[in-house]
Amino acid sequence: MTHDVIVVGSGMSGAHAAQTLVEAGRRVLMLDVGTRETRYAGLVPERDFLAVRESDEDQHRYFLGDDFEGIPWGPAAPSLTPPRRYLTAGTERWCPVRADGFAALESLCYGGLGSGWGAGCAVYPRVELEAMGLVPGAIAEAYRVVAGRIGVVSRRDDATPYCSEGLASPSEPLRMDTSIGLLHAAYKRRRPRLAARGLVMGKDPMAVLTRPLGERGATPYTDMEFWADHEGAVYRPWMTVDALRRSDGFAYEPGWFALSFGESADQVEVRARAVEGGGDRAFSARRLVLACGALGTARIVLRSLPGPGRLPLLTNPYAIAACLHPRMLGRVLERDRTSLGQLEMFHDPRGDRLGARMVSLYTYRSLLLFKLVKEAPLALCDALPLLRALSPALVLATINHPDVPAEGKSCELVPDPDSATGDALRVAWAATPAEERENAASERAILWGLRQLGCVPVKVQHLPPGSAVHYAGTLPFRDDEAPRSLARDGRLAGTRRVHVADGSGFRYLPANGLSFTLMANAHLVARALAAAEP
Amino acid sequence: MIAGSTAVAASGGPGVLDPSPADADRIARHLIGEAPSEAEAARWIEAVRRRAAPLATARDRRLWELAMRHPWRIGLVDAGLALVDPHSPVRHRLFLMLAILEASPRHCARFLPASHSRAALAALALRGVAAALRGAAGWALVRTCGVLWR
Repeated sequence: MTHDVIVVGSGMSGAHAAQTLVEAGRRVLMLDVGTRETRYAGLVPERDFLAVRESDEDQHRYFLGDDFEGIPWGPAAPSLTPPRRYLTAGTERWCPVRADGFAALESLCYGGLGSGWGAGCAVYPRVELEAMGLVPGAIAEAYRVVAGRIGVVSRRDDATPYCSEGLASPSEPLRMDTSIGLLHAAYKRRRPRLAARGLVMGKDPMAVLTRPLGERGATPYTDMEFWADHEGAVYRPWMTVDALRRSDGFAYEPGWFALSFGESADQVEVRARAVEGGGDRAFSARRLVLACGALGTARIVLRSLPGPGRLPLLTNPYAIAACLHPRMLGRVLERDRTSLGQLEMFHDPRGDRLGARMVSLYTYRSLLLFKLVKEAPLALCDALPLLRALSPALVLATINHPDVPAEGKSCELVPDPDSATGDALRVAWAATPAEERENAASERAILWGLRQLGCVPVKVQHLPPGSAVHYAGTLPFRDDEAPRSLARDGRLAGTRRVHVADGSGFRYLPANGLSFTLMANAHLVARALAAAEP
Repeated sequence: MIAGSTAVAASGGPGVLDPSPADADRIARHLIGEAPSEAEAARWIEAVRRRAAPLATARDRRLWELAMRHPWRIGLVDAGLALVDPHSPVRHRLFLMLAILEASPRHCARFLPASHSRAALAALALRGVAAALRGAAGWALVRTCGVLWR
């Protein structure tokens, strides 16, 4: 089979670029490392969290891990659960990052980071899309296309201008549990006061089914989203790739790590290295779509093209506020609930939606109590009963800030004899003093807002840059064909046949998650490519 | 004198610093007031071998021996380390057992949230006060261990 297009990467961008190309009749080859989860697959019962806890003798295998890798120690930090650990398998060897204090998270797995995402599907406001270098009208249409593919639930509320404008959902959003429901009721009572400080609340659209769609079922509210994909209710990009693999015109080649590309008059050639064995091989097609995430694509471009060795980099500054919700003291959360984010707060300091901060509210149960107990400055035996009583009243507020390019935010390739590719990505990222002040002021307003709702912040932890797992802006959109930039249609400057479908081109990174926009942009890049080469 | 007859593991051989089923039993009883099953005890021993940092300092070895020799002191050691050195390898061993007990249906009732009456919440608040007192005593114990008890 001769391929029209090679797509590198099976994550959100790669999956949706490939789907659009296949639907346009193009013959697509997807190159991917494609690591799979084999150890815990099938171990997690299709039951709710409490039922699993009460009855499954094997629960220690997936809750703690066969190597006890799910028992964290040391300072608190986000970590993947054992059944999700495969997401990062091989990254240290194949795509190492060298940085002081930058916590990059990349994936080489089948379906990419979307295999563990939180399912948020933010529709960015027009002003943010323009700041990113995207065309609002085109993206709005692409949002609808992607929403139809993956199933997105949303509703109109106060947050709609920030996260769901123009999105019509045929089914109801996820239910809130008792704790979040009480906060939402408090918000409705205090709405004018909060609005005066630039705070609004509502629900982010989510790629979680509340009604069946095709082979996927509605969420069973098992509270197991961190451990398993029950009913396929939460969208994962591998579902799209699975479906593509059943269609003509699509071929999937796992086990290959793409290193670089080169162009000839009528073809583009991708040089890739076998993950097992290490031999190199060239794959050719008429066009190439890079969809490896901003960091992965940066590596390939830096290896392939002459030019400046340092690229800009955007990532969301990120903090978690642990709060106590006293009205929940003595109560318990219902059995049927979700572990995913349930309600969002937006802080819009300027009132123009550009630069709004996004806060997602979670309650805590399915990540197990021992991880909380560790953080208390008490003997474990004393902390256990206290936190057992307090945990239903715990609300975690994740705070995301936007990011813009600045000095001190960059990445470059450096030699690294220990890596499978002989190089590593050196990353430097530091917020400017002005950004730090703005973020701190915004966090004060957000914590004030939470207190207004009856939720008392007890600890705010600022996570290392990169922890938000959102990276963008390495090859910013430009109109002048400058080296290391993208044309608006995603074509890489200095090339004729190489296109980038991930977030590398975004010139601004909104606070809200970029996943939905990655998929929408990938659809547009693929559609433009298909139109350019009938 | 150290409980058990084997040499101290600091010298390299098996000894009281190596995790044993008896240690597992002491720790589980201390943490939740229940004995571990054989499988849970074995799991803990395996977890300590694979995950816990070695008791590298004289203070850690002394605290571990102290806690295992007198189980009533486990709480003091734990409380003191929670304040002085929360990521101590001694505390890590206790923490591994806590995780193993939680991920077992036999003990899940000790971990799953339950409704609490106001009286129960008040009792918990009192327990918090007692925990703070234990923390103060434990802090003194850990601070002096290695200084006064050389």
